[in-house]
Amino acid sequence: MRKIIEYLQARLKVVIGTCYVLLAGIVVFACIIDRTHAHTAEGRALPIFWSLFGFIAAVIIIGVARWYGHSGIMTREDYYDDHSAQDD
Amino acid sequence: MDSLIIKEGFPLLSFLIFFPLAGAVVLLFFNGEKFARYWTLAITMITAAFSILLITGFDTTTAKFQFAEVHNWIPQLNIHYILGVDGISILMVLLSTLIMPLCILASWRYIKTRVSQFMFSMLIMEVSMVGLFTSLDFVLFWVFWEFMLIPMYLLIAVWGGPRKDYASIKFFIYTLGGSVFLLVAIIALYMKNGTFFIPDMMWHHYSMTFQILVFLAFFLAFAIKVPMFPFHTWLPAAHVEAPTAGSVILASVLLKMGAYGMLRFCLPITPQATFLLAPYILGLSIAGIIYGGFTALAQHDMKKLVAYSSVGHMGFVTLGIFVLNIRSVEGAIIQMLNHGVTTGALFLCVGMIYERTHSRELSVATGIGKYMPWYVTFLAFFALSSFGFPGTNSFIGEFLILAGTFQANKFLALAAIPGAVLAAAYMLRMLQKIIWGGTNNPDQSYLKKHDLGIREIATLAPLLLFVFWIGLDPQPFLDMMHHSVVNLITQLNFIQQQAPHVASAFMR
Amino acid sequence: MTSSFIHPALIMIVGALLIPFIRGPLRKPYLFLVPLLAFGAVISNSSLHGIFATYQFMDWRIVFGRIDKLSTVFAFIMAIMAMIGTLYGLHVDNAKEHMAAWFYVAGSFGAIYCGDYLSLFLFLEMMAFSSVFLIWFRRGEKSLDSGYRYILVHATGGVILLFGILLRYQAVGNMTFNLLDVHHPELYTWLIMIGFALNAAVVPMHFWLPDAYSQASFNGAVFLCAFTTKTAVYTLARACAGMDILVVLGVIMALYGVIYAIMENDIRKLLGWSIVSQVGYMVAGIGIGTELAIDGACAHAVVHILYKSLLFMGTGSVLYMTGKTKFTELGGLYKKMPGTMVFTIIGCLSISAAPFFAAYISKSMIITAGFESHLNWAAWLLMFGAAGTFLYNGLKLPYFLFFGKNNCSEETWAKAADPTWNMMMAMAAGSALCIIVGTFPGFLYRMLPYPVEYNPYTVYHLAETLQLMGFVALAFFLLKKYITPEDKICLDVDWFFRMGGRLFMWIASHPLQWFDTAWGEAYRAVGLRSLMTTSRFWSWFDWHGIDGVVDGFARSIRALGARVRILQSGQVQYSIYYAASFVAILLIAYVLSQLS
Repeated sequence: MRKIIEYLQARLKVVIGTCYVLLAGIVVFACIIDRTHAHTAEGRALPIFWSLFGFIAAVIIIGVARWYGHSGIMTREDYYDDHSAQDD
Repeated sequence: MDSLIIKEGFPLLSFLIFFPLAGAVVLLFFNGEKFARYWTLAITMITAAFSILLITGFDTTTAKFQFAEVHNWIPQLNIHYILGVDGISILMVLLSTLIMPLCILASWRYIKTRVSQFMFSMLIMEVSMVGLFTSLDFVLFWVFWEFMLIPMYLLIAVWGGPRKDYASIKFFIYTLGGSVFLLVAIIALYMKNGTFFIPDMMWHHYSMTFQILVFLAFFLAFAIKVPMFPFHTWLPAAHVEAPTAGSVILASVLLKMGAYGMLRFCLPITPQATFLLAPYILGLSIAGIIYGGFTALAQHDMKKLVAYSSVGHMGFVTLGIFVLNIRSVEGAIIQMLNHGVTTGALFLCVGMIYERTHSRELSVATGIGKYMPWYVTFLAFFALSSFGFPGTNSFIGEFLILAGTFQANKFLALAAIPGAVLAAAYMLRMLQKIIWGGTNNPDQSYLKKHDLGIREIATLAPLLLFVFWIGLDPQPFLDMMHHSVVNLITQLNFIQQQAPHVASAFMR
Repeated sequence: MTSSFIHPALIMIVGALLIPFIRGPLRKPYLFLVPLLAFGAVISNSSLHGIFATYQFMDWRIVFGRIDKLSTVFAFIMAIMAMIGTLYGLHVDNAKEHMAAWFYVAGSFGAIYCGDYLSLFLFLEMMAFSSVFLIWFRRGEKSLDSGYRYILVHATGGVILLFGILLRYQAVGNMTFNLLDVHHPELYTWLIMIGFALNAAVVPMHFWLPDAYSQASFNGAVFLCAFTTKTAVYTLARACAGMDILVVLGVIMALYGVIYAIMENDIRKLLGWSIVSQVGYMVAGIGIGTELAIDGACAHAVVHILYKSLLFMGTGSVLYMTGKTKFTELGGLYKKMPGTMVFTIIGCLSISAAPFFAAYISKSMIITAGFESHLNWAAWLLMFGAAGTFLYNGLKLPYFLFFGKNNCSEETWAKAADPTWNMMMAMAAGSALCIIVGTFPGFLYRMLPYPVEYNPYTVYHLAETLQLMGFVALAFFLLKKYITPEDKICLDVDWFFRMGGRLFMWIASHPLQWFDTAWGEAYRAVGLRSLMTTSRFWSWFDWHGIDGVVDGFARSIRALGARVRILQSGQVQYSIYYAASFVAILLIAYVLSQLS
């Protein structure tokens, strides 16, 4: 297993290229299939609906998480620890 | 004689009285130490076993005296040998016979000198105890009453503690002083009735003056025995100086004789005087409860603490008796039984500590819980029982007494409550000191290998059994006494209604 | 009571009680055998249908065995989980930890099979009190506190549930555990729902989960992740199916979990948030209430148990070997823990609903049900959440744990390795099941409560999933630096409780303590002292007062006797003299009295 990964890591550019090709393949696949059984109107209308949905969803989630965390939710490790002199 | 149910066949009551006597006589001839112990244990256990037959043959639906035996004794003076038990006395007889083997076990190593004479005294003690509770002839009763003074005196005077001479003489003379008046009352009643047969003397309409005098005579004798405040001062002395078995017998059985006497004689023979003087006696009872509580709280001698607690407990008993309704009298009788069990057990426990530390001081016995877990477990349960913790026997007794008292007079019940609180205070204080102590406990580590042995556990376990049995299922015990008590109270109320003019004539 | 119903809880309890007595080489086979027997019991019970093992206790009918498809499918997966979990922890020597785990499992079986609220309550409490030990046994510095918070929250939930049960009994008159009247909810309906929802970690009563599960022992967490929440899902499915508010709550849970998981640094806490999120799907499905939705919730519960336990096993292996659980202290572990990596990635793919992996066949059931019931807003948001799930669980977790920047210290790196044979075997079993269920869903579908006409393997579904996954992955790799874990903790709703708790402690130790001390002083100085003084006075009175009279009387008599003794001189003439004088006085007195 290690060997496979190291092999791939050595050829990182090739791996990334392959991934982009795969992604393109998925888009093409999405365009050609039968969309009549999609649950939603949007799904039926736009062939690459879910690709856009996925990408935008991920961006929104990362953005919201970052904003939320940096607005004070993320804080130092020992926030809850009892800072009084007594030790238990 | 129609109040008796004569027993045909084996005379069980006489057997219970004279079998220990026979055993005692044997001890006069064979007086080896080891033999004395085992022989006495055997005799008392056989007596206890036979006394169980009393339960099986007892008819709980009648108030008549059962297992009765009637023989001539001194016909010229109309003195007969008449025995019988009813619901009130049967529990006392059983208490006496069943606690004896435990006392013998407790004295196994405690008594080191004159062992066979000690066992002799114990057996004679048993003879007189059973005889007293079962006799239905006044002279017979008085004989047994006096008879039990001697072995008790010997127990304290020969095998007692440092102040045994003082304590034994005080006990003897104090009790004897009271019983002299008892004799006078007996003779007066004989002159009125022409017979010494006790049931025949009951429920008569004697003149008020006569009743009051007889009642006071009875009352003095019994109040000293109970002991009621302020006639109680012989008790701490006697209890403290007596050996363990002596203290147990004294607390468990002898004190009950006084209360039994009140129930058997004061109430039925002088009923109107009882009603008249009951308020004062109730006052004395409440005083005894609270006084006993306070004095116990101040003690640092464990035996004295338990002795004063007896004053308090017996205060509850006399309270129950003189409230004069069924519930409280039943509570009083159950409480007599409970006190016998619990206080006997407490004295046994104190004796066990004394055997190890040779001191009765609370400060010497502080903090032993760490090293003697079995001991403090038993002690804790008996202490809880002593102040009437629910689930234990004393709770039933105190509850019934207080319920009956509340029925009669709410303020009286309220007045008794501080006594219960004080009981909890001194008992828990003693318990806390013994089990845990504080930060300055003496070094008790030498006790580590001296926790309770098998013999001692065998002595305490039956008492613990009764603590919980009576506490959780008191019905069988209450059933035994019910008819006799109902009969007593019904007759009492009946006669009070019949002759109010006698009482009112006396009212100023 | 039919003899063919065997309660697997009984097997687990008896088995647990016997563990301390089985020692040495017998222990491991024994540990493996007992859950296997329980599984056998579940299989045997699955052929039955109806009410079994009832017991009349006072006014109530206790039902220990209510078998229908819903309880069977849950019992089935719990039994499998018991086997895998025990196998994973087979080498743990602490008998008490195994006992705690098995009591926990027994409680779950009991809750799933029971037919009345009374035994349900008892089994849920049993679960809570035994599972807390799985947290405490880690013996980490924070485990104790975390366990206490866990048990406090669950005890509170238990009380709320009990309150609801009792109110319901008063209103309805029986204790039967069945569907509540969700369209006309009373106070008791809400209370019972809240009690169950707390166990299911519904927002805002969810905060105990990431806290506790991240502090549990490495194998305890494997049990914890499966049983409490999924038993709660079962209870919700049984009693609250179709309750509209659950849809809202489920969607909130799904999204809330996603956001917090993205921010999280601790790998097991991330998985805890993942549980909150995934259970949100189940809760939403229960809320939707149609047959497809309930089926979807049950299926999702089953596969969730499989892949979540697999993920906890993988991260538990990392914890067990290195002692570390933070992304900022790990990374690049593929080199030293390849086997663990493979299994964990299978788990990650399963949770992300990749085709042929577990959640592919269940998550979409719920979403489809949402669309079919015209709850489009819920379905869209759940899809949104699915994207997020892939993001944090399918991408962030494996990337930053096994690849990415290597933050390991030298010590950590040295310790990292694939764990023991039993742990690997358990993970392998879990992985295999994930793939099998994902590829051949028919077996699972047949066990679901309602008949399933849903087919996940449509071309459209495949395309939809591939598109989603592909482009989320693209976004991840492009925005990787914004999602890199930081060594921080995230505050949550429990801030109010923890700070509130601190305020309460301050009040107790300052103002209240002052008052109590002052009162105690007053009691001691005034009350106790006067009591003891009174007692000592009466004791003094007893000796000096009463006894003074009595003994004094006796002493004076004795003194008198001593005086009179002088008269006994021993000489006859004096005795005759005294006797004669005495008689003479008597005679004179008598004569005088007769005269008057």
